[in-house]
Amino acid sequence: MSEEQTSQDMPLGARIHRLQRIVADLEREDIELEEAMRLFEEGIAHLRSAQSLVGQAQLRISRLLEDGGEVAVEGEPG
Amino acid sequence: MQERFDLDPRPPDHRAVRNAPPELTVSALNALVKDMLESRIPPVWVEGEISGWKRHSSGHRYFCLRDGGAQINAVMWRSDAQRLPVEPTEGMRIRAFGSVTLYERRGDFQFVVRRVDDTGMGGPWKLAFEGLRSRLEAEGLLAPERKRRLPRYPISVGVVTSPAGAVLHDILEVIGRRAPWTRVVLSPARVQGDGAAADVARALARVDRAGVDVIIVGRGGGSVEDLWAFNEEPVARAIAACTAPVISAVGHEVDVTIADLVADLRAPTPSAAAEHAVPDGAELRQQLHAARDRLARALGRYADRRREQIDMLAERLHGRGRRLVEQRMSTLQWAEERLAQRTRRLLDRRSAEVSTLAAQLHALSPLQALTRGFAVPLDGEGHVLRSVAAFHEGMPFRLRVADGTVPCRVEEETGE
Repeated sequence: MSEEQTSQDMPLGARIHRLQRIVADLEREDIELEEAMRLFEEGIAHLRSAQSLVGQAQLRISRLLEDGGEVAVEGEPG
Repeated sequence: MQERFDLDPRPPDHRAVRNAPPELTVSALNALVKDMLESRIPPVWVEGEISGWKRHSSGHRYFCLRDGGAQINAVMWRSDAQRLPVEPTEGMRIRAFGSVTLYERRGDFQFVVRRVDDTGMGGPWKLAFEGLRSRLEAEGLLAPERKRRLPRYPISVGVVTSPAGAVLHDILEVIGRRAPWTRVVLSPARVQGDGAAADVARALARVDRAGVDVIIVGRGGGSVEDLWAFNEEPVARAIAACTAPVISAVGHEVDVTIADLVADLRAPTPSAAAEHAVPDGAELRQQLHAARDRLARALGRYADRRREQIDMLAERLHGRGRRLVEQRMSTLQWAEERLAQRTRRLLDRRSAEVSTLAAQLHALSPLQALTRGFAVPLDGEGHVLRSVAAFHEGMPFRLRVADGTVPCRVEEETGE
């Protein structure tokens, strides 16, 4: 569960990089069966997170205020 | 145009006799000429060389504009002169926009300059641009090795521009189309006029502090004066100070500003800046789809490869056995037939042992079992349960099969 949460915070670029590593590791000669299965499961988790992020359909726009605060801007541009 | 006009500014009852030449005071004459000049000659652009540029303590600038054959006294009031990027130099060729008038107190005909532009040969704007450019260059701020690489998959994009302009609209449209999962943080700034440079610099620092992955700074096209904030030092320094990479998109493609030179990437238009900032979603989704297939195939290939490895080892074991036989045969050539036969029988037996060993090795491979539909029992920590001793009655465990895990429990304990 906690591993899943850290994985949720991972930036998209890091996630894609990790996925590439996992595939490369699975193609390596010298890993143990347990490690292979763990990598596969981790890879699937990254894939699901990346796909759900990339599947979002609406931009989130916010506007910075003078004091450094932020306000959300409603609606999408025409 | 006015055909006839009153030469006499005095009220009608003071007028001279009709048709006689009018008599005027000096003031009246000058007022008349001033009025004529101002009403008859519209504002114009004049190209000429600057001579005797003087900055008065009042802030007004006085100078002469001249060409090969003529010259005219010119003045630029403080409010207009403060928009100049630098004081022009003696002999500098400029284009000046303004209107003619008469300075009544001295009867001087003069040109009141409102705006100054560069000519093809240069001018104050080019002078200021080159001055700042060479200073920044000397500091190394324009060096190619200083350019930071843009992130390939940014989650947040900071945008520094006017909140009302078409620039923002174009950027949002492109990001929305390509990468709608992006968080866009707008840091509004006045992009022209008094204080614009300081405003843009503050907006840059603010959006950088907000922790975005990449920043776009820009504005639409305009005159050299409109774009000038992006040629000023505070903006250049603010861009250089950003921790996130900065993409500039200022004016049209032909306009190159100092901001463009300091930025990590110069885009020809705001839309192009947005395209550089975010990846193409369709492409990325396809990549992820391909990654899913690769991942699944990689696990399958992993198992195949291990089996091949074991087959190869077995093959080598056999080969070694054969070579051993041949070696021994040659060294025993001289020996009696019987001895040779006995030796051969001995070696045949050894060879059979080797085969058995190879078969055992093969059978021991857990991968072999897994790919053929057998399962791997795992305990709570994911360790493989390798022997009966590892199980006890009622113990929960998981069975790892090719497409997932099955929860299990030991029904009854078998005898050792």
